[in-house]
Amino acid sequence: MSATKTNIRWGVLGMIEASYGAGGTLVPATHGIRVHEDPAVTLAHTYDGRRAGKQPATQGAAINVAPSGRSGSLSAVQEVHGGGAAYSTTVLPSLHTLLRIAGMEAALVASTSYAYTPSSEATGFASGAFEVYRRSQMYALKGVYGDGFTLSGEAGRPSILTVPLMGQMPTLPTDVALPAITYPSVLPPKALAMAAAINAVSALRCRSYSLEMTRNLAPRVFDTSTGVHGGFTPGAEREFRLQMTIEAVALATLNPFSLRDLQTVIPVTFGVGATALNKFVVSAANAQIEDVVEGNEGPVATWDLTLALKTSTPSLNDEVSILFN
Amino acid sequence: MLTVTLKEKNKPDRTVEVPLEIEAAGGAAIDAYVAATPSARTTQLATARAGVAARAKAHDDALKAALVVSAPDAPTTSQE
Repeated sequence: MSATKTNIRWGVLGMIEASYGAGGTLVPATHGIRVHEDPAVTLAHTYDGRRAGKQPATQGAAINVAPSGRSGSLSAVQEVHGGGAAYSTTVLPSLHTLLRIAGMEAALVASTSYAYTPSSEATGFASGAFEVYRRSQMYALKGVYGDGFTLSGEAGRPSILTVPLMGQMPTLPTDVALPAITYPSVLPPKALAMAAAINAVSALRCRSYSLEMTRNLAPRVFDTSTGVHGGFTPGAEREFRLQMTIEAVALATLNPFSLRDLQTVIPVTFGVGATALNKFVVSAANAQIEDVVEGNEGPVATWDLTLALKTSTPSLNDEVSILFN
Repeated sequence: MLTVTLKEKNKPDRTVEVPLEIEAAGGAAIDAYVAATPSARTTQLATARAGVAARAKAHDDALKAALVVSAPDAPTTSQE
């Protein structure tokens, strides 16, 4: 009798591709992405192989042809932490690879910081190559983009990054044992002293936050050269939204109703962590409040704020900055 | 894009834009690219691009070879 096949263990290797769909050589010692939820891969096809109509002389259907254009999608969920040591091209924040392929550019100031800002089509979008190990199988994907991301956290806890990934999958899953993947040993910082400030009003108490980017990936035309899925491309529009639940304050101090009605452009910032090289700050200089919901945390009055993050000019990509330092 | 800024004593900050072909090659390749002179960078990028193109061609050739070309449907016998 064969051994029980389980879903207990999994692992993800991911790297940035040299060009879209180029793939790459993934190394367990270098490219490990520590995902803490099962990275279940869903297979899909551009054409499922079903034949048109029915057989001419019976009520039955004709046998299918083989499906075409296989793609794979999964959700990668990981804890967010910094490099824990002087930043370099090999000491990176945990979310570096996923953020890069989800549509963010990276700026390293050697030894000091990594800053992530929205990508520009002019400089090209980074895509990724992945090997996903689960159920004693390996799923190889290339031409992978993140269809946006969600960076979220609650007061007193580590933050989480969730990225829905979509890519080409030229080969079917194969039986492969989970390799010994190297992961960073840095512990994730907690959202303790968040220094949240909205419209320059500081010392706000932030219950939770969720920064969401939607990217609207679209499939490209079928690749009639190689016979595989055509891959994906980012949509023409992206949107950044920040949801924050904060403890309400006097309207004379911060009036979200007025800011919403006037659509005042306001700065927003908050941070997670306090230890140098393992903390990050989210900043948006051009936020507008879209919605204000009055909530309660027990007897405490709260506001659930939804802020849309915008660019400062018609040509800049500066809706938000995530600075690890 | 990845940009790398180096801060060196008694020198102005130096910022280098790292192309994807170099970024994909990882830390050592990025460091070498950033440290190189502009003309050496051009050479490094050309070499990286040639390598990427060669790998992409080999990969595409393998996919094309694996393409299953359907044989034309055999004529069916009329049931009438």
